[in-house]
This record gives sequence, C-alpha cells and structure tokens, in this order.
Amino acid sequence: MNPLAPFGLPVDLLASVVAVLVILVSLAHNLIYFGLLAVACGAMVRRPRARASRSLWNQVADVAPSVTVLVPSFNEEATIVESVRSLLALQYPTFEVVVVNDGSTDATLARLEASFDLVPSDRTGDGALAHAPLRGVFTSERHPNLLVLDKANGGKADALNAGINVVQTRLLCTVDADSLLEGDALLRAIRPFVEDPERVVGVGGTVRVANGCVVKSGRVREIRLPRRFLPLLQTVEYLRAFMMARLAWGHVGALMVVSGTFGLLRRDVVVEVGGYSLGTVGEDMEVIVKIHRHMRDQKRDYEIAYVPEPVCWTQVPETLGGLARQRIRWQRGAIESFVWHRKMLMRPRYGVVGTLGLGHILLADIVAPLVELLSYLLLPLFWMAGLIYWEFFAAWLALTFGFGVFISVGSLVLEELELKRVPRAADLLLLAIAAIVENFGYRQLNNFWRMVGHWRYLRREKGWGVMRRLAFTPAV
Amino acid sequence: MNPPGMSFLLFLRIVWMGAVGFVALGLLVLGVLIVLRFLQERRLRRTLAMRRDAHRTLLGWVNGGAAEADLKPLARMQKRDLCDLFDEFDQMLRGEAQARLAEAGRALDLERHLLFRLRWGPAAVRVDAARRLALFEGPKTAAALEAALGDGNVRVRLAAAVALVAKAADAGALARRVLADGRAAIPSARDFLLALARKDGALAATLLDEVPEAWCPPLIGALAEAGEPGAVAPLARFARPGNPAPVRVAGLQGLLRLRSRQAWPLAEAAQDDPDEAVRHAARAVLAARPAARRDDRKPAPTTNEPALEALAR
Repeated sequence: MNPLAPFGLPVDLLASVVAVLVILVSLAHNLIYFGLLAVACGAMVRRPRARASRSLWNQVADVAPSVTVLVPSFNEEATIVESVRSLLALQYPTFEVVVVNDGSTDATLARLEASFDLVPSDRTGDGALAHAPLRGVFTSERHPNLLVLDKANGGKADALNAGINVVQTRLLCTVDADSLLEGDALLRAIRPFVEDPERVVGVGGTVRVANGCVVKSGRVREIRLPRRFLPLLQTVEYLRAFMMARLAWGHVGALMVVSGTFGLLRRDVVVEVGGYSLGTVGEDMEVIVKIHRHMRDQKRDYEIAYVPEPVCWTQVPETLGGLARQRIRWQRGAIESFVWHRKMLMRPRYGVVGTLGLGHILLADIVAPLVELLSYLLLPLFWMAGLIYWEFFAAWLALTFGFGVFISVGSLVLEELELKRVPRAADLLLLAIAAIVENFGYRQLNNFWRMVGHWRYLRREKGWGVMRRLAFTPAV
Repeated sequence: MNPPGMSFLLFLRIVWMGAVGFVALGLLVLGVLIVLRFLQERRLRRTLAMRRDAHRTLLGWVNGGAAEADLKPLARMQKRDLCDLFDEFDQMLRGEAQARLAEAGRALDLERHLLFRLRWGPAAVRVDAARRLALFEGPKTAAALEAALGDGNVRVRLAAAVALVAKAADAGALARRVLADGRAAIPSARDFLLALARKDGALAATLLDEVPEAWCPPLIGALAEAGEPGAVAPLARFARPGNPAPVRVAGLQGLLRLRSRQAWPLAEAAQDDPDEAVRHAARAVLAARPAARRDDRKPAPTTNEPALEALAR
C-alpha cells in the first residue's frame, strides 16, 4: 500500500526523485575526486624529479632563507622531547625552534627543562598578535637556536600567535609536537620559496602515519606499517588526502588547507590577516582561507603550493574514541571556515578558491556525508520495496563503494609510481587490501562522525576534547 | 514504479558499468605494480653487491687506478642506476677526475643514451638528460645541446643552456639568446644565471643594462650568489630609489649577500620606503650590519620582565 496515498503523493515517484538526487550528488562528488586524481597524476608526471638530500643541500643551502619552526604543545609529555630533538637535528642552514607550551597540565615543560637545560631569556616579540599572558621565556644553553615560551592556556591558535610574535625570520614553519619531520623536509619544502620568493606565501608538505615506524633520536629509522587496524586504514586515508587531493588542489591554485602538522607560511602575510583565528578548532584551514581571501581582496599575485616530497610523520589515533574526537573536530573546523567565508562562494573575484575550493568544502564536507548516510538507509529500502529500478540501486552501489575503492587504489598507484615510500611489496599489498576494506564500515563511521560534527557545530560547542598522546615506537 | 526515461536508465547503466570498469582497472594496475615491486626487491637483493662493486670500480677509475676493462661490470647495470651513480660522482669531482668520469661515461655508452633521451624523452626526462650531458664534451653533445636550445619546452631550453654555458666559447651570445627568450624568465632560469655569473661575472654585470626589467632581479641575485666582487657597483645602482621595487629589493639583498658596506646607507634610506618588500629588505641589511655600527641598539635588559610584558600585550 502506498503510505503517502492519503496525501495524494505517488511514493514510487518520490523514491525515484530521492534516488536521482542521491545519485547526482554522489556522481558530482566522485567526478571531483576523479578530476583531482587526474590533475594529481599530471602534476606528478610533470614535476622535476626529486633529488637526493646531498644534491639538494648543494643546490639550495646557499639561498635558503632562515626559518622559524613553531611547535605549539599542550600536554605533550609523551613525545615533546623526541620531537624537539628531531627538529634541532634538521638539515637546514639557519633555523630556530620555538616551542610554545600552552599551559600544559602535565610534565611537558618539566621534560623540556630537564632535557635541554632551559634558562630564562630576555627575548621580546613585536606584539603584532594578541594572545593569552606569557609566564616565561626560556632558551637552551646547549641549543642556542631553541626558544621555549610558557604561556597560559589559550588553545592552539593562541599558542601559534604567541610564537609568531617572537619569530624574527620571514618564514615560519608550524609543526605539531606529536610529529617528526624528516631530516631534509625543510630543505625540500623551501624550494618554492627559493624559486619564487615574492609570489609564494605558503607551502604544505606531506604528512604520513608514524604508528608502527621505528623511531630513534627523533628520526624515523625504519618505515613500517601500523600493526593495528585503525591506524592502517588511516594510512590509506592520509595517502589519498596528500598524494591526490592536496597535490591536485595545490596545482589548480585552490589549496584550502596547509596542514598545521607541517606547513610553511610567510610571517608578514600571517600577521596581515590577523594571525590564527581563535574560536575555531580548524585553525590551519582557517588561516589558509583567510590568506586566500586577503590576497584576492587586494588583487595580489600569490601562490600556496604543495610539495609532495617533504615528509612529516605523525601519530594518528589508535582507538575509536580518539579518532572520533579528531574527526568531529575536523568537521567542525571545516564548517566553521566555510560559514565564516561563505561570501566567497562562487564570487568571481575569488576565482578557483571561491568556486572549486569552497564549492568542494560545501559538497564534500557538508552535503555529501549527510546525503551518503541517508542513502544507506533509503536506497536499499526503496529497492527492496520495489520502488526504484535496479539500475538506480546498481549505480548507487557503484558510485558509493566502487568509486571509493578506485580513488583509494588510484592514490596508492600514484604513490607507488612516483614516490615509492611504502617500504615493501608486502606492505603495498596490505595497503591495497585496506584501500578496499575501508569502504565497508570505516567510511560510514567517518560519515557518522561528520554528522556529529555538524550537530556539535549547530550546538555551538567549543574546545578540542581530551587527546591522549602516544609515545613513538623506539628502535630495538 | 514510475518508468523513468530510457536514456536515464542507460545513463545509470553506464555509471555503474564505468565505476566497475575503473575499479577493475585500478586493481589491475596496482596488482601489476605489486608484482613489479616483488621482482624489483628480488633484483635489488641480488644487485646490492654489484652496486657496491660498481662504486668501488668507478672510484678506482677516476683516480686512475683501474683499466677500461674493469668498467665492464658497470655496463650490465641499468642505465637509470648508472645515471644516478654518475650524478653522485659528478657532484664531487672537478678537473681531471671529472674528465676521467666523462671518459667512463663514454665507454659505458652513457653519453649516447643521454643523447637519445634528450631527443626522445618526455620533458622531465629531456631536462635531466640535458643537465647530465654537461659532463660530456665533444661536437656531438655540443650540437645536440645547441639543438635543444630550440626545444619546445622552456625548461629543456634552460637546462641545455646551463649545460652549454660553462664550455661555451662565446658565453655572451648564448646568454643573449636565452635572455631574449621571453618565456624563459621563470624561476628555473636561476640555474642558468648562476652558471653564467660563475663563468663570467663581468659579462653578467654588463648584461644588467641590456636585459628587460623582468630579468634584473634574478640576474642580480645570481651575481651576488656567485660572489662576483665587480657586481657591487651595478648592484648599488639598482638598489637606489627610482628603480622598480623588485629590482631594488634584489639590489639590497645582493649587496647584503656580498657583505658590501655600500648597502648600509642605501638600506637606511629605504627604511621608510612606501614598498613593504623594500622596507623588509632594508631591515634585513641593517640587522646584518656589525653590532658596533648599529646606533639604534639599546642595552640588553638584565631580566626577562620587559620581554614578558611586551609579549603579553
């Protein structure tokens, strides 16, 4: 019986309309990913071949500008010493490391003091950006290029703003305290700034999953895949996000996020846009969207580039709870940035950023998860009730699961063809299996967390939630 | 069920069949890559010892301690591995040892291989081939590089120019040809300008007055990077007010790099320049001035209290 018959509505027509809408949204979403994969392939093929570190040093060291590495840290006692050691050992001509202890309630500062012989410093900043009060400024007797700021808790954006005030170089590099930069990562990432210092205002590098890797003295000594299932699935996700999406967005000039885990920015431009925004949990995306808006408002020629070779290793959550908190936070950050800059959407003056960049956030981050979740419920129901033709159901299945597998596998192919950073053939096989499996369960879970992110945004919830840091796997 | 249009059903069929096709294609390609990786790993295990030997043999050859017959095992290596090995050596060697390396390259057919790649490879391969051919001298290579100066891809043209400039009899003619190429004013041109400045700094300084404005900043940068002392006067001229901002910035940065005292008064005058980039360059020059010359330097505070106050603002 037609349950909508009393309202005079043919239920099969409604079901078909819903199915068509779902399929069109899914098709648009997948076509964008398909396009991104194609652009990423083109960009990879055309890019100059990556050089060995030594050759890179010969070529770049003389002209590489000084960089300040900013490390905001909150309750990072498990990884902070290893991370700072890794940063101090970077292969780069001139750089300074500024760690901002954002009112940690654990032993983060104590560990830094004990490991690096910190003493009070008279270093002053220019006060360009506001932030929560400072409690102390320290330098290291053993490492003159290490500065530690201790401040009242104000959030990651606030910690970054405090750090930016003391930055004396033209370029700053943000690195998360639970991450490890490869020794030559800065040398590799600096190249766009060397080649075009006036146009390039930001550069993003690749972030990879460190869980399972063997770490010694702050360096990844042996690349290994995570031993646990959840981080393994995230390894595929990170490959897809960086090897395909960021590379392609950077290539078309609409890179909307330079990961706070590892990204370089021009200090003057960050100060011009008012620094990192407080009150958002996606401060890395927000600052990039602000820079796009600012530069395009002022009709300035600029570029925010992505370089695939420099790698930063990061610990990803190993529990469902930790992953859920991270994904909900990312979703809230994306919605906040979109809402704050919604006036850029489809406005010609913002070019590809307003059309493709923000349009993609709207479609992929806001509309598609909701549509996809609803479709899991409605389309099988419609088909089983005989309300839609099997072609609708087959197209939906193919678009939802088939294309998902294709995009993940495509990113793996790209990685293998161009970078070959997956250590062994057996690992590649394991990742290929993960690329298929993640579409059945994990992907749906992610969509659910995105919906929770929507809900929490609508309820105007603030804060990052509790995060548990894992120590890196030591070398045996 | 309401029957939708047949064309829409056909469209849906194309969608699902296309998706399935793409998945199959992706999995097939990945499967092939995994098999190739397995084979490569097996080959690598076998050839590891061979590579070590090749390194030792080549080292012996460039030091004059090995005969041509000793190079034979290297001929069995894949050309890509051989190119990487030669790159490694080329960066470390100069003069006679570098000439011996070129001789080995010729004996191992590497020069011919690179000439072929320069003619037939995709752009990135042609660029690499042109760069590597800089090691080799001789009419065939010179003619091929000359021909590559007319390549359709600007990066190949620039790489060929870099390879030619060190041994060019008339570097001026080559430089003028490159600088007249309107599409060559890209960041990659830096390598050519630097090679030119290192080969003949005086010539590069002369060219500053001839080239279009777009070339001035990178040429100034190359002169400074090459450490050409004769460049101080033209650099100071370009750092003066009246020149376009990018040129002035390059002039100031060049003088800073050459550690020339002429930069100080120019930088002091540029501190209040309306252009932000000029002001920034001026600040960098003044910050690098020896401490005794800095009249604006205040005594260092004895405690960190002022620092904390300033930061907490």
